[in-house]
Amino acid sequence: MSNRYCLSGVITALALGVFGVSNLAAQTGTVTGEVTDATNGSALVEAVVDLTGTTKGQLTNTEGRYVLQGVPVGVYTVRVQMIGYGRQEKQVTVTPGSTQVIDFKLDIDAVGLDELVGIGAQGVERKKLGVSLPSVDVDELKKAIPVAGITQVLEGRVPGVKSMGTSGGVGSGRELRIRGTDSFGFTAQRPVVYIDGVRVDANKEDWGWMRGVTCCFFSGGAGEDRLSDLNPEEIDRIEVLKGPAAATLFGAEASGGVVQVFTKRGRSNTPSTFTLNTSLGRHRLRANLPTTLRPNFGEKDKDGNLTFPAWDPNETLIENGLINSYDLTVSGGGEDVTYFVSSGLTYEEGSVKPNDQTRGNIRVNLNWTAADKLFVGVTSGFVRNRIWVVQAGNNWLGVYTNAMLSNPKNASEDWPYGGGIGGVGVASAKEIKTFSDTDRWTGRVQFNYTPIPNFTHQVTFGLDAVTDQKSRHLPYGKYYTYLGEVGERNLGYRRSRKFTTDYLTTFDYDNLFGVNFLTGSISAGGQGYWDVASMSMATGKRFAAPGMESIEAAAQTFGDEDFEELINVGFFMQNRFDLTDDLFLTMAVRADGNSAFGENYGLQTYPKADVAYNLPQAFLPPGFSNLKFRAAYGWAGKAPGPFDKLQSYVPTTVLGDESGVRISAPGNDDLGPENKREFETGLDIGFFSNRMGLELTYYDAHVVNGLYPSAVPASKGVSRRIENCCQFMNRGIETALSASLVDLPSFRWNMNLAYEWNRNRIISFGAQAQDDSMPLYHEKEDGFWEHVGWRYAKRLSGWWEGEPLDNIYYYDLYSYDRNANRHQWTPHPFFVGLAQPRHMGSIFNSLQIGNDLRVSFQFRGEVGASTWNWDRWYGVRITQGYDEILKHFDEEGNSTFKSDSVWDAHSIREVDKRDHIRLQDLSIVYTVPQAIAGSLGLERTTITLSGYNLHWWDDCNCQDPNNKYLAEDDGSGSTVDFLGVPQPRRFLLSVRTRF
Amino acid sequence: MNRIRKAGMLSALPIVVALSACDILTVRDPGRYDNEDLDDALDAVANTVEGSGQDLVDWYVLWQSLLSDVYMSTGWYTTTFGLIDEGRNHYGTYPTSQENFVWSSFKRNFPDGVTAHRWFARESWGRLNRVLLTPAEVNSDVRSVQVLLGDAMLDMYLGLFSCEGPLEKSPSPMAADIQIYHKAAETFAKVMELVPNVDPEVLEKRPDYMNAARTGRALMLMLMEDYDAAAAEAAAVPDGFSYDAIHTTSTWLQNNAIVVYSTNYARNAGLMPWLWDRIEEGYSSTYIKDLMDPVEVAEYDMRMPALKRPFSIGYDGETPHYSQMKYELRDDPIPMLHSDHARLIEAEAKVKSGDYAGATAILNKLRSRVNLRPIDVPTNEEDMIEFLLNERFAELFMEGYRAVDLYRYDLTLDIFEGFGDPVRPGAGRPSKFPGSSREAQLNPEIENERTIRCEPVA
Repeated sequence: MSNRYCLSGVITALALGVFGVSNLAAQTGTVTGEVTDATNGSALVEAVVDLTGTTKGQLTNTEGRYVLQGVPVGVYTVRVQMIGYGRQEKQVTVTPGSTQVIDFKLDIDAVGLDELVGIGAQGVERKKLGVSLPSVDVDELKKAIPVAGITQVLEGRVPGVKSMGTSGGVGSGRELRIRGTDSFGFTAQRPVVYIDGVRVDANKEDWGWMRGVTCCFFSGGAGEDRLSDLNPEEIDRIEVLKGPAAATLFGAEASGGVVQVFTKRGRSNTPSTFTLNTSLGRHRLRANLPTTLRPNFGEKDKDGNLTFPAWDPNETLIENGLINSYDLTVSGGGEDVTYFVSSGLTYEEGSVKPNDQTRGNIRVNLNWTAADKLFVGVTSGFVRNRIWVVQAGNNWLGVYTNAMLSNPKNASEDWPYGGGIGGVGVASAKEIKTFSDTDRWTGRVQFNYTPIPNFTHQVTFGLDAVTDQKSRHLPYGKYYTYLGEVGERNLGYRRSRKFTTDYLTTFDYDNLFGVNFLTGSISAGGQGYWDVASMSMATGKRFAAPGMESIEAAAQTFGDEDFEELINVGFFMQNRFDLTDDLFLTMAVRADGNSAFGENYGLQTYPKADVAYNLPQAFLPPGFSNLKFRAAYGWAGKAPGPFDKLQSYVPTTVLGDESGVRISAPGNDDLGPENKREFETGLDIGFFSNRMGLELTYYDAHVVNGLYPSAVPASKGVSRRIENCCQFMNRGIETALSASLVDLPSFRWNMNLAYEWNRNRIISFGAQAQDDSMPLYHEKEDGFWEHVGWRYAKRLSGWWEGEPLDNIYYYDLYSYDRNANRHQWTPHPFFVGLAQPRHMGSIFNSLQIGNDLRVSFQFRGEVGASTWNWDRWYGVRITQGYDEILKHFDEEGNSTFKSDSVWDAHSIREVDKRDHIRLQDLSIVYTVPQAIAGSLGLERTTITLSGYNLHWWDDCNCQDPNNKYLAEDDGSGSTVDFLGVPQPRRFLLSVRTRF
Repeated sequence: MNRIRKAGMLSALPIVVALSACDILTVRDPGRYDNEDLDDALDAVANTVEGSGQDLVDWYVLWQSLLSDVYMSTGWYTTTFGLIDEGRNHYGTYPTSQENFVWSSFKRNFPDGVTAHRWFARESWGRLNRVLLTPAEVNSDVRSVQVLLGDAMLDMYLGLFSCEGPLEKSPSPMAADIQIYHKAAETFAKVMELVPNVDPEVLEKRPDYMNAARTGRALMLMLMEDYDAAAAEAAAVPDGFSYDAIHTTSTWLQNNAIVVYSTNYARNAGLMPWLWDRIEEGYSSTYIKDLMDPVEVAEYDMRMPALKRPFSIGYDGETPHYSQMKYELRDDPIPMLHSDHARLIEAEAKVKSGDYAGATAILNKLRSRVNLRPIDVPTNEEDMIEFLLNERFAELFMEGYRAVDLYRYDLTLDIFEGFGDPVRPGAGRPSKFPGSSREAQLNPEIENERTIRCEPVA
């Protein structure tokens, strides 16, 4: 199936290439030249050269050269841009048949204030922005490291953005978070994602519980990652609008931030350029499981000799998982049409099997200059993503679960790891087939109409259509907890459609009415968003014989359906005043109506203002090459759940088997969005001729009308009612340092440092709060907790005013001894840690050695997070299969006093610190000399050896401190590490070439 | 913020008008019923109200049995069993106290479950009066009977279970159990008024609503200590009547929690040790020996089926597990009100009036039905009450009335002191459940001060 995708992509690309280059015009000239580094004179490869005001552009080749052919006669500005270098522009006059040579020597620029970035659908120079708006050039990043997915792009590269694993395995879900925690509902904190202006389904996919299912529909809570549908080869750049100050114009859905993905496009009058990327590698988890002593135990003969040593999962569960990927892209364009076509096929196997992912992508992006004033852009991306999902997490049926939670003293040939938890052996768990099979199309049509040069209209119609089919089969004859040996089949079908309609008009004015400072840009527009999703599920249980895999063959069947619909309509107006060449002021307002707002709520208005001031060069202190002050204040919101406002009833069975109805939600006509007001200020500083850039940002967000399922007296018929009740504070500091430390012809060293600090606090629960006294505890050196007093505070469920929102709440602390006697260690509930890290940092180094070799590596670190560590608790106390207790059994496998004490030890607490440092990326890129590549007809060709998630250093009793930050999605602050497969660890050999 | 919002709303007025006109922001959940849908679902509404009390009875019986001297905790599956069994179910400070954590769901959190269902009952009564066209229609519709009977039953169980509770939906003050009985009695009386108006052909296919209301009212009057009126109502209840809680046959529901948690499915609760030597060990159902007999007489009382399977231990892995066998299957019905209970009410009224012979005659008639020897007329009040309560224990075995009797006759301290079990001391042991802490916290009409709240302890 996927080969067909590849083939069709290539054919389409070739056809478009022929079409594109066949349309060159006469009465033209040529502009050519060379782009080099001003400091060391080396050629700059893949710099963007274009003629402003036209669609003509090109990337420089391996010698830094560009050739723009077929340029109509006239006067033009040639512009050269490259990440890490300052933009340059030069005038050129093209005469018929002439060849104009325009060379450029670019200066290093680690600040990038001239860079164009997008706010909504508009492009604006960074120096005019009053907010931090980081942008990651994915193509540039790929020169240093292979990029496997969008989350890897953002990991550690954009301060304030976290990509968190839930359960590992290929294709498993990840959670994106921007700027920490400031909402009860963790789902409310997911940023929204736009691809080319189209809102897309980008969340970890959550499937609810369904009737009749044996356990853990479908895979134990990991879910699948819809972000993993994207092929990084299609992405040009990613921009992150971190909070309301930047994302106000996205309205009632944007308080968690906005991630904008821009896919690639072709350039006019450019011959077809092909890029081929192929990778071969493997996944292999670290063999750091605490089970190395297991082979000392197992089945014995009557003389006590070990006849079957138990298996150590380090040696038998962790396997090599194949990675194989092919991507072919082609881009170029003629006079009126440009194109970018890509096709890709990726196959990855997980390290804990069965688990694999096969993904085929194809994208066609076309841009057509239909008339002088009309420009049409079409993007179309299709993906088929089929994942054999790993059974993991809090799941009796997990492969990893049963391998880790087995007792080696019970091992035998039939049960080589020992008896698994719940009586399910690893062999049976591996027999479960779980698939997620997704077809997805994302695309848009965009019309740009410019009746006069400074007045534009842009209309966008976009759709993201996801159809996802899930299936799971528990075969007849294998034992599964809660089911027995009779077999089960689960099916799921999800259909999600997200429609985006967008209109934007922009009027740029200069010296309006002859007034000097009346220069700027005014825009207005509207945005409609319609999200509709339906889900149907079925379960069949109890097959009569082996071999049956259809629900039709099951004796008991169950079905369920779910549906969601959300409509948002927003209107906005924005004006940017270019008060001087250095001072810019932007003011905007957006009003949103949303189908999730209560009947009495009406519209929600979001204002914003930002200011940017670039200190004139004359006033810069010594050593400073740029200094920009910026400040912004803005609002954004998060709408309630689609049907939270509705009073609703669900069916039930009463009086035996009669139909009944019971209330499920009381509804709330006054329900409104959760709103966040954010103040952000910062500095963008360039040092030493912009060879070093420092970005400092402080933000202070205040969430009002926080949504919470407030407790309701039972005498009113329900237990909870969604209300706007609460206020939170969330503030932090973000810093990013970019530096070109060494820039010699034979050696270049670039470094990026990122650090962020974040803190949140509950300000008020409103009328929901209860007066109470919070117990205060102190953790002693021996690991025991000492009750040291009380603090008066207002409380809501497990949260307390004045305390962090992501506190891990420990309602008591107890243990059981071998005789199941409960030992209570603390009489009160109390807090023991934070779910999210308070400090995060990363360092990325890229070393260019000679012309051909580049070594890059990134370390990341986190401090301050804790988690419930149920893995350890179960592995030691319940199943006794961890080294920590195995080492205390005697040679006969009998318990000793020490093992008893470990079994009951308070030291095996359930909460563990997550501080760690991780070598996230390491890559060595070798550029094949052009003499060799050229002889094969190739341009820039690289061979890359890389590793991802290679090693980490931590102080926790866990397999991966980055695992399962959030098991729950209810915002309870509970963060559980329980049997999630560790995050993927990847080794790759890649070859990349252009021709 | 409000000013800004209002300004935005005013400036966007034309947009609001436009949006309203085309109604594009209206969505509907096709998987849920809304309030208007229920106007077309009166049968389901009435069935729900009648069934909602029945849905809770299993938990009522479990908790009352653990509170009294019937059941003990034999497992740690859920700590609620242990907390109640050991008499630690005092007021907590919702929700941080352990008690309230484990009482998380409405069905297990019995007082909250009752008041939540009662809200639906009252809403449904309003719905019937709104949807049915005339008062005459309302008063002659069997669904009205169902709704009012369900409402009365819910109040009845709330009063039986808790020493206080809200009489109306929040905001509403706490009322003492006796006031709740009054309310229930009034509603039962209303049911008795309505039943004769209903088409007899319709009633033929239904449970005996009249005698259910009559028995319920008699019980309420007895608990209000209006024994003569109680006896009069009870006397009108014919032998053979029973109104039971019916559980679904659907296999994926938990159904009768007594079966699920105290028989062989999950042995979290079992009969208390003082009953153990009255139960024969075996593989199939047997009975507890007659409570009025010395053990050696070995007469088994068929009203109290029980079983000790060989090697059967509780979920805690150590406590011998003696199982009730009145309910063996998940969909076994639980008697809620029945004619034998009415006879016991009559007997108690006679005890209160000093007619021991009359009371003994009624009780011996009940005993004779299960082939137990008659008991001589007691000569003093203490013996008479012991006889009465033993017969109530047997007749109402696993129906949730033992705790009510110990509370009424102030026997909790004596009985638990008599056990001499340090885990279950008599002094300070709750003799009735308190009202809902959750309601006290969230209902603005209730002062959440435990010193002024009822908390009966021995």
